[in-house]
Amino acid sequence: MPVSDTTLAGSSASRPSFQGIGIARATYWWFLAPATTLAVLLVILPLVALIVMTFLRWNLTESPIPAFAGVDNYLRLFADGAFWASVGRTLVFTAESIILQLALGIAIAVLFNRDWFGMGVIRALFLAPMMVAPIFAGMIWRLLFSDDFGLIRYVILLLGFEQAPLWLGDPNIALQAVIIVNVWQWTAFVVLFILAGLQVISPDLYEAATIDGAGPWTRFWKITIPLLSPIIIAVIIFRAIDAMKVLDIVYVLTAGGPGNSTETVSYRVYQTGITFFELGYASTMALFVLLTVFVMAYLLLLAGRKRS
Amino acid sequence: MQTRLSKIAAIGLAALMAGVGAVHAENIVVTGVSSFKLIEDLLPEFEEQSGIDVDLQILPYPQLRQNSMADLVGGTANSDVYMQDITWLGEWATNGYVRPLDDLIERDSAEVDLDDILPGAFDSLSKWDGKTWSMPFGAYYFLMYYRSDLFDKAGIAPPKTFADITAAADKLTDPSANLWGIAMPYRRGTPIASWFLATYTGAGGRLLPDAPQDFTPSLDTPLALDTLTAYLKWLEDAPSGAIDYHWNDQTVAMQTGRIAMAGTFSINGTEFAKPDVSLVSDAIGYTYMPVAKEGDPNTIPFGGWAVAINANTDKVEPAWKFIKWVSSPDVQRRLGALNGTPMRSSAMSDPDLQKMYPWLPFILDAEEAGIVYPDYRPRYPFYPKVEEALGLELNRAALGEITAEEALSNAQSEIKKIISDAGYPVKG
Amino acid sequence: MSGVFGRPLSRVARRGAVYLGSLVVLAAFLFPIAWMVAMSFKTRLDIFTWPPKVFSFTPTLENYEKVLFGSKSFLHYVANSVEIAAIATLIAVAFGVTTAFALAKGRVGNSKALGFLLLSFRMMPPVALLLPYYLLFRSTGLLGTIPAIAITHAVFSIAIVIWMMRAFFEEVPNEIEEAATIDGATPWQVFIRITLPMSRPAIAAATIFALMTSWNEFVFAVVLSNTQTRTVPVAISSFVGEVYVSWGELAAATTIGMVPTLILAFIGQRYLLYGLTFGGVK
Repeated sequence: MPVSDTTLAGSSASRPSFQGIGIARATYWWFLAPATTLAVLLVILPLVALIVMTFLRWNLTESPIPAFAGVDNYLRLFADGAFWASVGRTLVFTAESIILQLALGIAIAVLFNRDWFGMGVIRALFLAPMMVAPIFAGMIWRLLFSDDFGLIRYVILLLGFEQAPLWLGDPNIALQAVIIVNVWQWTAFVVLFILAGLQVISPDLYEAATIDGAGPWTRFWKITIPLLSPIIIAVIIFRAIDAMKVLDIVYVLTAGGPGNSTETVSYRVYQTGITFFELGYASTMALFVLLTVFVMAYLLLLAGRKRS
Repeated sequence: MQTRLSKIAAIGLAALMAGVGAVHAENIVVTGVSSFKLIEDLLPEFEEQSGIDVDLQILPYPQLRQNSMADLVGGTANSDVYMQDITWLGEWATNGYVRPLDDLIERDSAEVDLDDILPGAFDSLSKWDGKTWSMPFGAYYFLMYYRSDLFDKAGIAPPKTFADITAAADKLTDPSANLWGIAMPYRRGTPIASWFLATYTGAGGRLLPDAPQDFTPSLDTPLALDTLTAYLKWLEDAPSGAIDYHWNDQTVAMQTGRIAMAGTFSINGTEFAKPDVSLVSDAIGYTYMPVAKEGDPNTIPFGGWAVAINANTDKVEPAWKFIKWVSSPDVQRRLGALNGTPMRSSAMSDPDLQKMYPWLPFILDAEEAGIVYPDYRPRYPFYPKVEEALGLELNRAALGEITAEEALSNAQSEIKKIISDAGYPVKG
Repeated sequence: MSGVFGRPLSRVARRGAVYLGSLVVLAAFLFPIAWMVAMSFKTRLDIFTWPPKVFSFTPTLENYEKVLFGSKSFLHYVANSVEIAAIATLIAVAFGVTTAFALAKGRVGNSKALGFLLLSFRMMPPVALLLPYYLLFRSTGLLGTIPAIAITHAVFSIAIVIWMMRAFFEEVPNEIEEAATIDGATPWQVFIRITLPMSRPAIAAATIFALMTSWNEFVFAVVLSNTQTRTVPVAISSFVGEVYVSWGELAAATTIGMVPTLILAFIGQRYLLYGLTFGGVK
């Protein structure tokens, strides 16, 4: 039965599964049980609560008691121009962040993928940006970006430039500044999982390809990337989900400004839910974000399945 | 690995917990923002005297808002005492989230000594619909602070009008010395909205002049336009980063000697006057916020914090004991040395405090003259939305995306809608 | 001869280039952290200067003193965070890896639906979950307890663990597992003896990630904790005042807060690489 000639991981769909060999399915349900229980308790319940809340007018500053509102919140959502503008902005933020994180992350993972003296320390230190809670990361960067005391402006002027950009005060640049911070903090996430993924690729493949005359560039595109694609897709999905929800760093760095140049969807949800306490409408927006991300993740997954 | 770690952590935790709480029978939880942190050092005294153990929880402003609302609306008592921002008073009182204190004040009137509490502070921080819902803790008065050394050297008199400020700012700005005439907060949201409204109120403006009969805002008046025009004009003599200034940034700019004028609350003025954090502590002048034209009456915008008892707690007595202590003349005076914002006239009259914070007598006079105005940010539950709308329009005007007129007329109509949607009468 | 000498030389040059490149990358990503650590040794007046003081300041331990020996020791919160992160990681990794194994190899039930369901937790803006969680834990009397916080953190990272491990399992060739199955091994035995050891790098990555997620989580911890169970980020946030930010203390506390995760990352990353040997499975 072992198929010795398939050395590469093929598509999951074409692979023979244990089920086919006749092992009781029940055993696998035991593997699934704990996570399923968690899901029912801590995901489905809040999800139901969320959906129910979208049909309520529940404004805590008016009255602690909710009232049924029919589809009012949905109608309001469709007419809310500022909300839709923030959706577009969030998509730009997400796409740009992911492209940068992925490109940098894969390059750095390949660079760090060596079992040499000292590389372990480098790999561990590289994770440091992830170890700072986003809210404080945002604060540190706000100081770095500062026009009054900022290290970044200082270095730019030292390098001989006449002027440094107003990172957080210029509506044309502020979103890029937020993206820089996001990329800074989460590239390590990509590196972490790509490094783990690289361990599965057999060195024999590279050797065989080298003998066939493939250069490092060809080997990277023909072997590394295709074999990593399941992990890359998963990484994209997670970075996309988190980027769509970006809040902490926006809140600290720019509070949605200048103008509304960095106002993301989650910032609006936060303002509506926590600052204005309009729980019904905030839930409706949140549900929309959930559905958007859901569709996005599903499409990414389909694209990934097709490629492999 | 994880299990061993958690075991170590559990043992450590148990050891730490054993050290706490064994001695005191009663314990209360008190939640506030960072300006409450100063009482940490004095708390052991209270715990000693009263036998009440105080769990002090310090949160950033948005988290205090969020946690207190969850607790109060949910009908629980995760925290027995909450710090109450001036703008929350109406909401907490109307919904009965906090316990009225009148009976306790009457019972312990000698101890509370209401006559010693500044009347403007007491009325605006704690009185709603004829009842008392909290006790004042910190009283913040909005003044124009300036660098007396620079003003003296340049031979400029303390500024009185918008034009005075503009002229002084222009004269004192010297980019080669990294010195700028003035900086106000221009960052979107609370910073620009709140500081603009304070400037407007200081010049005699009232955002909702006819409330509660008619909630039509007054942003379409000439005074509002004059104020905004001046406020935006000052940006020309501000550091280039001021477009993104939070009031924290304004405070630091003043402390580091980068700016010559800063209109702000006295709690920030205190920070200007502390030698260990400020380079200009010995050269701080102060005056009223400017008016539109010479001779217009002055107003001091007012804000601040109070302490209130969660309506759901059954620990009313220990909570009240704590509130009495934190608002007592002695504690107010000692805290006043640190924060410069006592709410008792006895503390404000203290010579040591007045030496440290020379504007205290000025504020006492203003309280006496009755020119302190608490509703520069209207104390209604819809205020956060007003602030968000106003803050965005003003910020766009500061960026040059729209004109001052457009910003005000946009804000006027948005605010009208927000207020009438919230169910208040808007006739205009 | 030249070939014999040339080879090692070029190899040394390549090695040097990799080290140099790695250090440059590291410097580019770590300068904000270095700046923060430097800040933790500065007085307030030294933090706000122009030009910024990179080296020319007299270091002070004042900030650390205030953080560590203030009225409530910061180490108490570190202990809370360690406990919460350990429980959360244990749950997320144990449940996540088994689930991923079943989803990748077992093909039972509607695995895609379950995967997406768990993912949807991660997709919701946290604000939307705050209230349901608050109510849920309040009604079960768990509000403010360490298990309550740990469980929310676990749910936060379990989706990532499942999806990453599943992607990884799908990358691993099936042949060995199939061979073992034919030899009569049960799925449990296959899982424990073959799949788990082979997956060490991915488990290490998932563990590191789950730990950091829990360690940094702020939005839920601030609502679900009480004064005794506050975590490091919640404690640090008390330095963010509405009047001013205590930058020195904030930096010192953040620096202290990084030490445990840095140690764990250092231990964990050892398992991240497999010496490039296991891939040669045939």
